[in-house]
Amino acid sequence: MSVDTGGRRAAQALLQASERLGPPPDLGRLRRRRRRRAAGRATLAFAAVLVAVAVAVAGRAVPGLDRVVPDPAAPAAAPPPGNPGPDTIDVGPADASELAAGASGLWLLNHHNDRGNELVRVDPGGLRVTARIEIGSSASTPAVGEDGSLFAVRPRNGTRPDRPELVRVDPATNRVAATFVLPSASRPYGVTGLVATRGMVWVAYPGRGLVRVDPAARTTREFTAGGRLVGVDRLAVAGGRLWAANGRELHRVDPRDGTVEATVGDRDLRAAMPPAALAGGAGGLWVHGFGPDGERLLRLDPASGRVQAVTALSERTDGRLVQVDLGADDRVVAIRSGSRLLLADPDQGAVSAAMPAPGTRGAGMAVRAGVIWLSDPAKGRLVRIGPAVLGRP
Amino acid sequence: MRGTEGAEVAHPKGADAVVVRLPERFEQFYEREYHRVVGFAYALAGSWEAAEDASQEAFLRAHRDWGRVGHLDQPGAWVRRVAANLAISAFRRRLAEARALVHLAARRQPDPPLRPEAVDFWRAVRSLPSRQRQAVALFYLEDWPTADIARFLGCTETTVRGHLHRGRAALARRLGEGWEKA
Repeated sequence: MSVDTGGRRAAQALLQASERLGPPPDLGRLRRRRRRRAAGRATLAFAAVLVAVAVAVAGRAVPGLDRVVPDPAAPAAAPPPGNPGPDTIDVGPADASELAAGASGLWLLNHHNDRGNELVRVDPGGLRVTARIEIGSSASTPAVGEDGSLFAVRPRNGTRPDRPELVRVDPATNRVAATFVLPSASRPYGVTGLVATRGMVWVAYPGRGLVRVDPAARTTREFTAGGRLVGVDRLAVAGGRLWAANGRELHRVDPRDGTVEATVGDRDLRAAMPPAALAGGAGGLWVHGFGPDGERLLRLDPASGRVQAVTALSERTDGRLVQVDLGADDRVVAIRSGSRLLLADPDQGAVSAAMPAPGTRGAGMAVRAGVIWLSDPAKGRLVRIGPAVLGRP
Repeated sequence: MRGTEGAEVAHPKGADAVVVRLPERFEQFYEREYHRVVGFAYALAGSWEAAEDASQEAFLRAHRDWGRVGHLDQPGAWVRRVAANLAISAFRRRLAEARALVHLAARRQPDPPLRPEAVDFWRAVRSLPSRQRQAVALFYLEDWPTADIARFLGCTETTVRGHLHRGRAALARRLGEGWEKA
């Protein structure tokens, strides 16, 4: 046998053996294990330092899961010293953050690699933090329902993202009021889309159909529509309909019964698939994708599914490595692409303004009542961009 | 709603075309590459425990910095490089094996069986000098062309061909009768 033949057989045997080790371990569990090991090594090497740390940790109150921590010292309208402007709220640094806005105000979900995630409720009028809620490790994807409830998804037992549960935070008490078991995912990764509309919550995650939770009736139902709703990873509500995109197609879904009413077959849209982001607002469905000419924004008529406008964005963005956010309400359509914030004309989709965006990686964006909110997790702040700024050319 | 993935948009000066590259999602990358990276790390370390340990650490680092790593031309090469550095660290290997001994009873499953001739082959590969070992492992396990191996090792293709030539010759010698250099 030649070395080449033997080598290829040995390689094949090695790869087969490797696959017998089982599926790749859950990343969250890995992270925790690493942290424990790191802590163990630190214990051996720096016993004296550890004692000091232990004393410090022991002296600190550790809030329990779901416990509300009032924040009496939260800054009111006047921002704390050192903040760059009057429309900035100090919310505490995080590794990443997500934003959701709705009837109950503004909610920021701060992700921490070294501890559980924290939900921060913000009064958008008073520019102050009104509550901090420990929502559990790995909670993500916040969305606000019509009644002001905050929904998010987290691993059911804190460690298994493939066994998720939906969490409802009651805006009246700022407490987790209910949890709803979601079907297990085929892969140990988190949800990719969550929207709340018409009293229902829709959740998308890999390897499953679209899951609808009725929080009032406490029922859960999965819709696959013959496979068309399997693998959906972007969701939005526009024109009273649910819009669901997978890697190849954009479907309009009737939220009453989960049926796919239509699939958009437009050439411009297909060129922009898979979308980086979807949003409903200003009477349209907005799709951000990457076509042959770079980043593009599409405006679709939610009634007909027709593409009404296609706007090239690349000349106005930084053209570097980007994270894309898309947000819209009745008056404002905003796109954050990397370090640039673009405003689009709500009717035509044309870019009407561009400005530097605070925060880049791991930052969140929300649009509500004509105001754009941007989080900057590295600096631990939330920035409000209101009409005074948006009104400038 | 946030787009959880980024995209690289390059605007070559004076060019009409715009090149767009969508980075893969980390989860897909992780699922696809995990076992191959563990196999590669095993080829270098000779211990499943050390291989899993090094691979997991490498993926965690990639995940932490996916905004940058995901946009590299070959994120898989980056992870393998980190895993290789970790796997061939003798101290780390001993540490992983010591942990394995301590937690032997708690292991979910025994090491996966590997055919004796495969065990012999990879043992012989591990006896090669470090860069020959990596070149040979990438050549057989990943079926990478010499250009990719050269990029991985940070050397020229000619050097890689030299590593492979000498590596194969050494393997033929060490594996003894019945084996010959191709």
